Amino acid sequence: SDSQPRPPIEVEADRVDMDAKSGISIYQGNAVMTHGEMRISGDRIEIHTTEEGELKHLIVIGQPARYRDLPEGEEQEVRAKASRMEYYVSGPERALFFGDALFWQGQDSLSGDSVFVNLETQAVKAQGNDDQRARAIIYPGQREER
Amino acid sequence: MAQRILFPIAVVVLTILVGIFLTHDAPEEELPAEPEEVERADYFLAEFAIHHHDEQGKMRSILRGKQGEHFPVSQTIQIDQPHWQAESTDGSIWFANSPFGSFKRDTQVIILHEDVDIRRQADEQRPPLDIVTRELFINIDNHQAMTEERVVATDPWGSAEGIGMTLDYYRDRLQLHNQAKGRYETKQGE
Repeated sequence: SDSQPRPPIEVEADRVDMDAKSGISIYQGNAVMTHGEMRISGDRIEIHTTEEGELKHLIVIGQPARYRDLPEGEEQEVRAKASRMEYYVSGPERALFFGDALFWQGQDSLSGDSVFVNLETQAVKAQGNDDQRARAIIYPGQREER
Repeated sequence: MAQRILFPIAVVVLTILVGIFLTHDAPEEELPAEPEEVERADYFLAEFAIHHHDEQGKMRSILRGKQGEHFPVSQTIQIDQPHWQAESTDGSIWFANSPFGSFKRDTQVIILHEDVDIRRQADEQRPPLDIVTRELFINIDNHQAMTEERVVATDPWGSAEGIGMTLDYYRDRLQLHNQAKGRYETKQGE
């Protein structure tokens, strides 16, 4: 819950380029971001900060980039992969997946050109494009009633 | 008869062998090492400042020192408590200082020794950025500061560390070369 202090966001990579003027830092080479249970990995992680220096969002590029998290109250991890990911710390806290996006938990999955996850409400939305329709596979029998 | 001949020969051979043995092990007499020529300072400075200007004549960096000794042969000024300040092309100010350092007049390189503190002053767009490292080489001509040591860069919300850094203070950009790690605090949920 929100009353607990939020864990810091930690990033590791081979090297980092920091633009002290714009506040953008680009971590490159085996880049991994962790934030509590959330873990995103890719080739490159771009950190964008506010004028006060606070992290507001980050962009991950990979072939593919990979996402993993254990939502509060859930026992099974959610996972995702896509060519590009964006994570926003607030307003609401959300994760966006672009480019052959696949989002799954156990056997249930959602795929499309892009998938949006509201991490505060756990609402998930998939969007297709001309080449790729959005697709959901849900195994109702195996989901426990919440 | 044979004995009378052999005896003196044996004595001679024995004498030669003993001579070789004695001289062989005798340590070569160590020639006194020529006293290493210690370079001497030809003049001294106190509370001084060295200004660097760019091609357009604009002052770009100032190197101040509490004390300085100028060595003519190596064209070096050894500096006590060096304090360096530079301005980026957009006007942001960078500072750096260390316990002691040196300035190589021939290569226009400032070397800040031991613990080095670097700061990018806060401006309207950004909070201050503080960098801690060691052995920083500041090249005035290509406006870059480099180290191969561990670097920790901190601002109010986070920090980044790595091994080795290139700081282009004209463009306000720095790269941490290896083992980069970042840590960013996040506000309470809104």
